[in-house]
Amino acid sequence: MAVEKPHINLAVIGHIDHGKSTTVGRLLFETGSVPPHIIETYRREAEAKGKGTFEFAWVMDNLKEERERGITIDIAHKRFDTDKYYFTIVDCPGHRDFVKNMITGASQADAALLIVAAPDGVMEQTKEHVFLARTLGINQLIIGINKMDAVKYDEKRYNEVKDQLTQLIKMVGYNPANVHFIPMSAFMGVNIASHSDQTPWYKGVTLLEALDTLKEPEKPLDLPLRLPIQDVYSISGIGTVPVGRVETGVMKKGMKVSFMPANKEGEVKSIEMHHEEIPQATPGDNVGFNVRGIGKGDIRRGDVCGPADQPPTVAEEFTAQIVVLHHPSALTVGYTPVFHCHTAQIACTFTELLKKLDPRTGQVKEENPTFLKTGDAAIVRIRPTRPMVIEKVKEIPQLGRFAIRDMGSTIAAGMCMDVTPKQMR
Amino acid sequence: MGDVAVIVKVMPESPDVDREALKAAIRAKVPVQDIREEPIGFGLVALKAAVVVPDRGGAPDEVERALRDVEGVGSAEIVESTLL
Repeated sequence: MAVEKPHINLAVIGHIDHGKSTTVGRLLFETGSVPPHIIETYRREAEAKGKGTFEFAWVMDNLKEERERGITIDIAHKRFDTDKYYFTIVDCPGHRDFVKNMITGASQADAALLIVAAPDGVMEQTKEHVFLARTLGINQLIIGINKMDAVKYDEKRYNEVKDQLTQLIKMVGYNPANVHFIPMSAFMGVNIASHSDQTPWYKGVTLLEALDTLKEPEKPLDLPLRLPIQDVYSISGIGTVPVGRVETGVMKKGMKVSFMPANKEGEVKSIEMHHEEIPQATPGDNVGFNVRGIGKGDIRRGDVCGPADQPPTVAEEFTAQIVVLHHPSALTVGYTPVFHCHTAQIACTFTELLKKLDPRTGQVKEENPTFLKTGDAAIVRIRPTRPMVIEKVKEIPQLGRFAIRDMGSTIAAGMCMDVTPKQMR
Repeated sequence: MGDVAVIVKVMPESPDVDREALKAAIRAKVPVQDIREEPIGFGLVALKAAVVVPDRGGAPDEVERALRDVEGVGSAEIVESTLL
């Protein structure tokens, strides 16, 4: 039996109307991942009308129609294969209110494909998505400079947009030397699966070749155990059963564990997944586990389970880098919105605005600004109104990210740069 | 603005909740296109529901809230979202 190829979760990001969906459709089409019945229907229609060649636009329309008719859990994941990997694609929604779910949700993207239309260049959402990709811990990036047909495959325009993007990604900490920039046209199929003679000046890789240069994601097994609690049950004949997904490290049967900020300790008696007892759970596993020494009322959603000798960090206060996605007026010291971090939702106060950053250069634009508004990136100091677990993004990235929400909408996203721990013992 | 396919993970209040009744109650409340069971352990089974919502502000909250209001649901949380 053939061994399954390694899997990569790919997030497709970019400004609205820059061609994300067309790129996704083109990738499915070029890799033979469009369902055969759609291709067959087209073949029949084309024959009846006396046309012989494939029209990509027709396939795109029909793919979309089919998905609108009925989505199943399986086809919610669009899948395609390259020589090396199989990919599932997350085509990122445009509205910022979906950001919270991308930060706290299950399927962490391993790589991002940023689509930027050559005629427009860098737009607001381009900047927002690049920052979010970084905040979400997506370290591998490919950039498609799309709609090259609309600028007549002009090398000069490609280089202008590439320069804008180089500045932008440097600011958030990507190394442009490690990023492929590809002049392409998803609609025309240029530089997607094969090198095009429309861009004789371009000597780099095609989009499919670039995807094969990505590195296979590694499970964060070497980090200390962190399992944010989703729900806690009391099950008759068994006892207290917390449920959650392992983010980092390994949980083993018999392990002494600590729950923070509840500040309770217990021993893992048994772990179950898919209704089977397992000796240990690793990152990505959704498990229930029975703990000795913990009552149902002792812990709750938002607490984090870790090893008793390396307990999760409870923050007295922390510094963070944030980007303001949308605020109706200005954000100042004293503002106390709700922070969504792993499974916790806790009101936190902005106690100091330390630096405002220039999105073009990454340099400090202003020390101790008096306010922040939509589009600003900044370093700020935060104090949770009640105990909260958060980790430095450099040490345990999975527990260092958060979304900030107020009045039912997403205000900002950020990552924790440093923590002043609260003494719990 | 397009539409977004979201997958919501629904946990029952207890392992004793009748799953078929819960699925029916969920379908009655939200236009769910697909529901699948994901066994966890100790008799607990998560339900994963695929729902299509518009790509606009408030949409993710509305679907989570509607599902949390269903009797027998302990928690409901969007775990995946992708444009259609």
